[in-house]
Amino acid sequence: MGYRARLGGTRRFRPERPEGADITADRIEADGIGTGRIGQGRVGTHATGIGAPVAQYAPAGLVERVVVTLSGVRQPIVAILLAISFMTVISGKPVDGFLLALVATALAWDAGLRSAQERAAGLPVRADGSSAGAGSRDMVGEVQQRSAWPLRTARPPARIMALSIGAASICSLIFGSFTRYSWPATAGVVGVGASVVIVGWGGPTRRRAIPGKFPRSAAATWGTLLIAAGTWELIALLGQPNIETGSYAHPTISTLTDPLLASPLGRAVALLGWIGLGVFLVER
Amino acid sequence: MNSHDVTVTGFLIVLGALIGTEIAARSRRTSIPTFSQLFTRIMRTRTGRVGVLVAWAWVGLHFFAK
Repeated sequence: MGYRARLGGTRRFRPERPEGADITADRIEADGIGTGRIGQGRVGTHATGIGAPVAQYAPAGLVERVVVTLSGVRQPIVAILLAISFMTVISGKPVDGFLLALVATALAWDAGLRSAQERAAGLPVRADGSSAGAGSRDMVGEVQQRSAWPLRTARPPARIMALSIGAASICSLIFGSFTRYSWPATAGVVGVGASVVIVGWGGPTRRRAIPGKFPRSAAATWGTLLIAAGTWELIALLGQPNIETGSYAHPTISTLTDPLLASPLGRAVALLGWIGLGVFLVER
Repeated sequence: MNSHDVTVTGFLIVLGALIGTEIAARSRRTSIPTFSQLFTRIMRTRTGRVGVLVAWAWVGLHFFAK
């Protein structure tokens, strides 16, 4: 049963596919960033753009838009961002929390809309919002990521690695030398963070096989640890005298890391680790 | 053992479990994915990718920025 039939709503679905056309091209676009088959010339910089829709589906009216957005909240990362946003707000940073909630809502909208488009196109959609078409390609091990960037197949040459590590170290030392929570430190962290997010938005920078769907128990192992860490942090946070004042008796991760981040060298080391994690993520 | 020690021990247990899980995953004796495989899988969609990167950026802002 198609999306139109199930909701019975008013929507415009225009597949724009000539009769008899190969549907593989649409399915390749189905998982957001997308995956491409090796040897079809679709890996690397491509003309179709990242996250091109599988079908032109446009929700009509506010209620339908809200429904589409809410359906995207099923994505775990969206739920995590909303939880972080809530914690940020109750920690006394309402503007930061609002901005994070805004990003989470935009991602929920994007994920929900994509699921709706895939339903409209007749592709089965999993609970995490990805299409079965994409998943089946993942499982055969014949796929790799597509990206707006030329995909490297291995680590960069040693010279480039040395230059990158040197640049990251210099950035860390400079930004670490600034007082914590000062405007110069803020500008530096915002600059690095925004740059990595923008690069990452375009897709991965390194070609690698996407693992197939994990067994439920395997995913539950990491999920349980994440929830345990979050719950323990929340318990410590609620044990503080008030939400904005650290407590020796119930230290949060922020309180425990304060001594390390009190010195310029400690901040530089932490910043270098943070940048390194960002590079690790951008390559995924 | 006071409440400070209990809280710190809790964090150390979680940290130890995370490291232990990664070691177990790399031993290939279990079906548990490694940290790298987990994030490659999560970040295959645009929502997952941008969401993870925004969460990463938030960590930096939380610890260093105004």
